[in-house]
Amino acid sequence: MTDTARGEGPECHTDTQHVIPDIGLPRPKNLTITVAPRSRLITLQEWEGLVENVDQERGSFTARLYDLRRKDSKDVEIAEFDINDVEPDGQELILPGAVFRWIIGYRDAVYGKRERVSSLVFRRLPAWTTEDLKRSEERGKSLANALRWK
Amino acid sequence: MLFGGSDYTCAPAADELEISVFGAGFGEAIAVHVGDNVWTLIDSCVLSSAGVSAQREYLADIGSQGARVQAIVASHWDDDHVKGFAGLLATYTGADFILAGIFGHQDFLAFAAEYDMPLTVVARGGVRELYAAIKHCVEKDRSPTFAAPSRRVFSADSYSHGAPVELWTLSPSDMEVRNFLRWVADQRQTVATTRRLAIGRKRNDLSTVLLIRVGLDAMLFGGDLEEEGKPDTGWSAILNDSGRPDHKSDVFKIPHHGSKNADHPGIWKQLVVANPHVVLVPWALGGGTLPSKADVDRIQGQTTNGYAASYVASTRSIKRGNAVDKTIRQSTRSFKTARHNPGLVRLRKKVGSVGAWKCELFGAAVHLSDYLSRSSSV
Repeated sequence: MTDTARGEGPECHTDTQHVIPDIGLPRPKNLTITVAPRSRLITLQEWEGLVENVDQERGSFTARLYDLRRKDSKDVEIAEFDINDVEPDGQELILPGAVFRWIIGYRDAVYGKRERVSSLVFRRLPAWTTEDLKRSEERGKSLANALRWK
Repeated sequence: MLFGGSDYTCAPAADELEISVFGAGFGEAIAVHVGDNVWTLIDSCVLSSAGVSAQREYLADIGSQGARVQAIVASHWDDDHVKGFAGLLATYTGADFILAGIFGHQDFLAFAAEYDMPLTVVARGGVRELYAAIKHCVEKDRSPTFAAPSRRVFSADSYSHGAPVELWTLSPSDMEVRNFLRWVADQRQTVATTRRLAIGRKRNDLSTVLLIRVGLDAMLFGGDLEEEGKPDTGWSAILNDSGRPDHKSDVFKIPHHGSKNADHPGIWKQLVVANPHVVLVPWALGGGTLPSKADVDRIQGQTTNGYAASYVASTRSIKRGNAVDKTIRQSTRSFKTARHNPGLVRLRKKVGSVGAWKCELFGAAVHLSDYLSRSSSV
């Protein structure tokens, strides 16, 4: 069985199914190939992070962390990370107010190799659109007009 | 019950003043009793797993469910002053809502609307809490009262103790408002940028300072107002305002967690009596803590009656197991925890009495002279 569709996808997937496209060759219809998982991630700890400050000179950013395993906790955690520990595509997203996920866990490869991993993932939240900004503008105007001050 | 102790649940008498200042390391809130079970609440924080504002829990704890909350004040919108605020406003529907008028400006509300998106699991910006409070006012047809320099926002003389009660706002100044609008304009988003949460302004010059007078007694609540040495901003603007009430306060809630940049020698000469009762609420966010040792020394140089609503319990990380702890150390330049450490400073005194204020400390509250020895990493 060939695996041309497998490529170099994210390693944290556990199961992947690929439907063979119909290219006119004689083959059974609806054939599916189940790709064995390459590795799986066992999450030990997970935070939602909020960037408070970015220091380009130090090459670091400081973030407030919200423990997703202790959501009711009122302790406040702050960490300073190296910007270079974020994948290159995510580094442009490191701005005050940016939200990210920090996961610590074990990555188990299929053939037994285990490594301890720390993963900082900046979320590409939906971008603001012209309509969003127009809507906010109108909402602000409408609330300001509706407020009756004493 | 927020705190233990047999005296804790004792409600103030009808003719007794009370100032209760709550702190937890990150978060502050104040409840003021002016007589006859009538209260003013300033800011909001959440201290327990009940998830509601500290003042709400406190009033239930002392059996004051029938309390009449006359005013709720939002001094500003930093995260550590607004948690639970919208709920507080929705609970006490008869209370006046006092806040800087600029928070009703269309540019600020458009900014708040931009950031009012539930795209996170837990993280929230303080602006959302204030925005929810303003939306509540519009939906419930509730008229807020704007805070401005030397503005008397409430007065009444119908209390059983016979003393007149007045609430004054002393800030923000016109210059602060203009500065804030410029800052808001800079924060507005542009098309195609990834959404983020609103981060509060670094300088707290827009904070509302409140003065409460009950007969001859006066209490000054400094919010987080800072000072930058300009005549028309910060504490200088208040001190230079000839329209403010000419009355020195017996009790002073120290601004901005006791930091040096929120102090001004004129406060101690012109706004408070000699050796006043002062309360500060410490602030700890990761490794950063206020007040510093120098701040404590400076304040103790002004008064022997200083108290802190909490102390910094520990900045050590929570133990999560060897694998996680080791990875945290390897993956960060620094990692610090500010432990939730709630406390309450409660001051009481009969209206008009010449005697001293009675001070009670609950939970993690300490006398300022003990603050440094109890705190770590200061």
